[in-house]
Amino acid sequence: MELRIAHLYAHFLNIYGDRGNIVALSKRAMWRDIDVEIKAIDLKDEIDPDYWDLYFIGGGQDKQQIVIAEDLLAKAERLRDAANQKAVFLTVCGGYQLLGHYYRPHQGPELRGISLIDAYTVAGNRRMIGNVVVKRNDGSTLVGFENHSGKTFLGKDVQSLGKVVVGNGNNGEDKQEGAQAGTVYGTYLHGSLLPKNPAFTDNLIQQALARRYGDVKLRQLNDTLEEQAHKRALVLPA
Amino acid sequence: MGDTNTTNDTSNPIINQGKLSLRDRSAVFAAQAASTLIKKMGLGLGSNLPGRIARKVSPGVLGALAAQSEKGVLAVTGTNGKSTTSGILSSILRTAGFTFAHNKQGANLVTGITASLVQTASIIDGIKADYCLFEIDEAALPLVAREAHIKCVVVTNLFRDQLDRFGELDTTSKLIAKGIMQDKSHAVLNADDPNVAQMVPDVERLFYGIEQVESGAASVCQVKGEKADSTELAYCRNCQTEVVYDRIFYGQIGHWRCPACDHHRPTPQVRAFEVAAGPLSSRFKLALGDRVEDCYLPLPGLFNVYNALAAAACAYSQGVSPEAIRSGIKEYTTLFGRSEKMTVEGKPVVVQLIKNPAGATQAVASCVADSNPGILIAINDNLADGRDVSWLWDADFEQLATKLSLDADAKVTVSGQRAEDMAIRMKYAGLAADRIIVQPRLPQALRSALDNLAPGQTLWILPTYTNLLDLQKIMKTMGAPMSGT
Repeated sequence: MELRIAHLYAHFLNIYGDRGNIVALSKRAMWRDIDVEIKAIDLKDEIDPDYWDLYFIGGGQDKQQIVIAEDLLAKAERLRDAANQKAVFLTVCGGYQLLGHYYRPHQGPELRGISLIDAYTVAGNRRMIGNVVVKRNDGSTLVGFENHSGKTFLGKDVQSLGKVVVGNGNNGEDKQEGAQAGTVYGTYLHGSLLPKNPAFTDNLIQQALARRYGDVKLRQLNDTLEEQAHKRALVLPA
Repeated sequence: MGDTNTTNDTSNPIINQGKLSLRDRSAVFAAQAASTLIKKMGLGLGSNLPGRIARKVSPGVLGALAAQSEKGVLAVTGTNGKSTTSGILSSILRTAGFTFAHNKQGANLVTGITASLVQTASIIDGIKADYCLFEIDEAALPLVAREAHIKCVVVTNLFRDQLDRFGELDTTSKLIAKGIMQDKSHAVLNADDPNVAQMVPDVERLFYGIEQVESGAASVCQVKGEKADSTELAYCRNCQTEVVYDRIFYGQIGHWRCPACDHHRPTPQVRAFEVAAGPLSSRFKLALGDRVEDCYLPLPGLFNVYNALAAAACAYSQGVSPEAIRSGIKEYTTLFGRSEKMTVEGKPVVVQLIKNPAGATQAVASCVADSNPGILIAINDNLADGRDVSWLWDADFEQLATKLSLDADAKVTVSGQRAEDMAIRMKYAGLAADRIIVQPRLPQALRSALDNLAPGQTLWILPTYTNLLDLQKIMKTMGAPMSGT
């Protein structure tokens, strides 16, 4: 079995430890003897929507966001095709914002997104920085760190990942964090997100493999250290 | 070389040269009284309170005291290496026979710098010294420059540091440029960091850089026309194209050029070549104009060679002799936590502060160069450390995991408020979970790391900032000899 990961704009969107998410996905697959292929997809690179199981887009600085937004529009049709084929998308912070309909800055023109997630983002006046704990519908938790001033609001075709217990989440107003539309995920959590949320990570791997291999049962790993780190993060101050 | 004399003090509202006013003297008096009281009450060092009091009494006191130094203010700023660079510079100035006031406690914000200055000042005469030597936080530089005329600004490098504090690298770069432009200070810049070398083209600039490193240095890769595999992106100032490299030393530091126009790394006037960076010390040839000196630097790693170069370049710009520069570098005594070597309970220990991916990767490279290192990593997430620990994932701990995995007995101890984060970082870097000892409490972690040390083995401690402060206290109680901080 093989997990194919496309890391979009790895060269540009690489702050906030996005590497940790790729490391977590690939290690947790490899520990189960699943082969992993990772490819960095850069500006102007072609995407084969039939090939990749999981797409990752991280966060970057404002300067890069404009260039990326333009390139993403050029890739939009193929990415939509991939999402329709149930490929998994994990997008964090800046990447999450660009998967919505648009990002409206304080000044200047709106940045158009690719509308894979029914959401929009407007520039806010304060930076939301700190530890976050999210309570999901099934009672499980997600932990991470947020650092954004954009405020994201979800439309009716999309669910949040859960309710913010500590921190701000999508917009600091409605207590929601992240978004999920089918196999497309967006979140403001980094820190890095996946290493400390192993169950969430495994779920992503399972969904990504399901595209080509159907229902795959993942072997249980010894997650003592991961669970310790998760538990510790639950009690960190905001 | 050097004396730029572009001073235009009348443009600066708060600067007040010459004798101290009564108000400034009262400020010094009040601050020193507060400082004595703080010490008596055992409130400890590092307090900015005297600085705050002095500024309350006389808002212009920093500028007034700084203006008293005969030859002016030398400032060191940049992401990594501020303390070490200003430390080496102080060693050079001392060797050359100059007197200077120096905020060597590392308090590098406006109040901290004021505090250090008022505490060394006399109430009657103020500052009687050739120079003021300030290590200055990047964001504080424009604030200090508004109050005090800065003769020369040394910029070490620009890496992504605490994003939760500055937002972005661009912001940091603009803050530094603003500080330099305030009085058009002389700029001593790292030629090999494209984000630094392209700064402030309108002032007089002196560049330093590394020409070539002897083969065998682990961190050097030789490339032709490659983009840097680094978190920091660098663009050509003229045409906004991303720069490429003919040689990369680490991160985005190397021989860069723009592939689109003919803009490229400036030729440095202060250069190192035949650089041999070892795990505990380095040797290199130092070219100052057309003089060449054989240098020995009692610090590990290429990043410290850059720190020595930055200090040498600043001293050179002030007309310090090549001999004094060479022996000042050699005589440098380490600051606590900046690659300091010491003996604790008869065992060799090296402490190296880590705070961002670039610095941590370099620190880890130094440990890996040791044949059989013992390792203790302590991560806190207080404001002074950076509250966001995601940078751990951008630092190259993989090289350490690979090294330790080769030895069946090797273990790593992780500590601090975010010990668990560091534990999973090491696990995902490839180290088996049973080789990772998690001990969030630092005294206990140090105890167990020391006890597990094999005879002859060196313990490398990599703490974040507030862990470093704690470590200093813990080691004092263990009776370890401390050099000055």
